[in-house]
Amino acid sequence: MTNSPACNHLTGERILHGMSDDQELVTAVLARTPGAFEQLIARHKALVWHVVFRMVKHPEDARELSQDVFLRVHQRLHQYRFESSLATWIGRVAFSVASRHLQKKKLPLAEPIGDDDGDAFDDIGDGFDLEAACADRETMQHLNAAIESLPPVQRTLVTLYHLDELGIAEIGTITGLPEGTVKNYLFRARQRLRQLLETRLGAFA
Amino acid sequence: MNNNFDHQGRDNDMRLQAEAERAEREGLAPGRDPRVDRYRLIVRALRRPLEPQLSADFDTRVAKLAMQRDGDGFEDVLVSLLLLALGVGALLYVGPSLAHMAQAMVSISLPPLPWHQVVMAAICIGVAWAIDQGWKRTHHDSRPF
Repeated sequence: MTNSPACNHLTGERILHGMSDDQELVTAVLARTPGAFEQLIARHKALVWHVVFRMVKHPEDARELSQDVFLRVHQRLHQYRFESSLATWIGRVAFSVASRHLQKKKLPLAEPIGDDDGDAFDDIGDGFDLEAACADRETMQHLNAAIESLPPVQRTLVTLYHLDELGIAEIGTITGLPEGTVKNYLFRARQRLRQLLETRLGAFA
Repeated sequence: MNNNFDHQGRDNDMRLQAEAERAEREGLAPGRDPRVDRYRLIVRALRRPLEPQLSADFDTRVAKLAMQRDGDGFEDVLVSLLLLALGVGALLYVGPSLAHMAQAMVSISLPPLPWHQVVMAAICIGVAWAIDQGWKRTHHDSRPF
């Protein structure tokens, strides 16, 4: 949950290394170099898809919005000032496009953070086999359904953190949320997933 | 008292989550703490690639679309330049005839136009149009994306 120094170091190195690549690619796209924009899309489409699909959930809408994100990126790339990595900037565009889509549909983006800390671990036995649970298709399907049931912003944050391996600061920049809020949402999302997992494991105990 | 208990539970859960993340990162053998292992299972589920994915031709298709839109902009510029050239050409070729016509009209002695007011009205319209365009441009660009 916390950003360990090792993790920060890696993220920082990746950003520094990526900056020169970003600069070359952005310059090539702005100079209308053939294939440059396609390369930009290939490099960042996974992140855009993760943000948009996690936010809107509906695959067809997500595909259309992902396309919209890249068209906006193409249109506004001259405004990119290299103040963050290109991935973070594109992630912000994606988050903004997806948020606006949900707002238009009057769907809530996130659950308010209350004082409720959820339940602590009940006394559980030693009979939990991680590898067996991981290999169990039904358990993983249940967990995927549990991830889908999280509110859009929490769903997106856990994906950016665990799947895209972005740091808390980068996620904060993409979503416009303070770092403390990002950490809190991540903690609560995992806690809620654990509770939903317990329900399933309890049912099969 | 109860609040204190909640905080302890929260701190404990935070520690378990951090341990689960570290254990996954370092590939530690499971089985030491079932509570950590449950969080490790969640971390693994969250690291799985999303289904569905974008289509394989997404990059090519969207890049082509973006270039087409770019092309549309270029075409607009070309059309504007062409219209401007036509305007200048028309003025050059038709201008002298228009001047003759104007002289002829003056000789018919039409009632005199209030030129001062006409020019003022044209300036007002021009300024209003420029302000509107400027506002639209600023308003459009100030949006984050």
